[in-house]
Amino acid sequence: MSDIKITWDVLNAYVDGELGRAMSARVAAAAAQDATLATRIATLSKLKASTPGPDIFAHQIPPLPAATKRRHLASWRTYAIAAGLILILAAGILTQGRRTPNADGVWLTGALAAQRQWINSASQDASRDRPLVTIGAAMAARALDLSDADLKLVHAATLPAVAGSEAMFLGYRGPHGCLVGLWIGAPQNGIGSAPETFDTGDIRVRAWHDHGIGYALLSKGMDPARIDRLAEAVTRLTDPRQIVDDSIRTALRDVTRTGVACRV
Amino acid sequence: MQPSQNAVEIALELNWSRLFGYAFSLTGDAEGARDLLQQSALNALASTNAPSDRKAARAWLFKIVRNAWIDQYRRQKLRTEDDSPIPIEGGGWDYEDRVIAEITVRQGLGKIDPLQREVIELVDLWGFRYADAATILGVPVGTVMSRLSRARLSLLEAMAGENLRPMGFLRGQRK
Repeated sequence: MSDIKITWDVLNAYVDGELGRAMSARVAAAAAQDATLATRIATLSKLKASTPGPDIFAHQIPPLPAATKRRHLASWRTYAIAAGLILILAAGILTQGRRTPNADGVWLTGALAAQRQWINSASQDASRDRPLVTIGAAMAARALDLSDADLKLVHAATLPAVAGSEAMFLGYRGPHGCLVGLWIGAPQNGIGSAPETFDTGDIRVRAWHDHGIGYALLSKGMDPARIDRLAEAVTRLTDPRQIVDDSIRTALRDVTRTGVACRV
Repeated sequence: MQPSQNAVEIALELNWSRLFGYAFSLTGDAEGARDLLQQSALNALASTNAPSDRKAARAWLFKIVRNAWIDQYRRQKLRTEDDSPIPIEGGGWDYEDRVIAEITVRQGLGKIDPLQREVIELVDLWGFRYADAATILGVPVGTVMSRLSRARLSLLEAMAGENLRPMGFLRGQRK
């Protein structure tokens, strides 16, 4: 044991980095000469690093209270619907889609058709937005929340099977009326995990795949730089390993500061 | 809207998931955590003195959650603590690194005093410095230091129990 009076409290404070420089150096020097002390520091460090987080799931986290949701106007019911659809869809894709990826271009045709159909059917009046499907009380899925990018989820639908693969389509409305679609379906031949451009006519498309699921963002009139930034942020949201944290929210907020507002 | 209210909203938004995790740790179930968080958010939004600094606001919100929890669940539970330092010398060191894993720590945390579990989680899980933890708990920094060191000792003792061994681990000889 060291000849320096080091209490258990001090040892804990050392492991927590709470000691001043001089005292820290004294503890370190003592530990260098005292194997028992060094063992205790190692044990405390391991204990500190092994503290587990609570066993909670994203769906258990409640939505922010109304007063904090001025920029989060999307119906949580819509998120719940979308989350449910994605779970069902993902299960189907993961059991079938890997074996039969969509033929080149088929997915794009379906995604563009869904976007155009939604654009044509969506009301110009945002207050008339309604989810197409209603599901009960499932909690919101934050993973699909693009409200930090000022995009409100207003539409969720499954799409008819194309080439044996089902897909779903989510519609988001921006503050200036911009309509952004997110197509989710089977992974596509030749498309990587980073967003790639598949602009077609007046609709900008960015597509990628992640963990066996294909994604495509679609928008008519969105600034190219802005949809690039949005796609980059959404790839982080669709990564199942990624926890939605402040950096993702910041990335989504940055979308609104990139390029110019959507022209519709 | 007052600037402080806006600061509260931003702080709530940035820390929402963490606050839910903390509320979950305090209440032990999702339903209770949701109720606690809802009440805490209302309390925070009603406040007019939110810190503008992001780190300070985070500790402030944790404190609000904790106070709401005390109001709801623990009004009656107050206790005194022994703040005298624990010497290193003397006594056997019974704790082996092999037993320390997330699973055994989780089990051990469930067995120690909630006050001790709380200070461990504030520092080790939520990453607060002693000063911030002291703000949240409403105690001096020295109390955090002693409470934490005792809490870790209790945790190690709890983990040294027969039923907290990882699968396949054979208990060694205690000194």
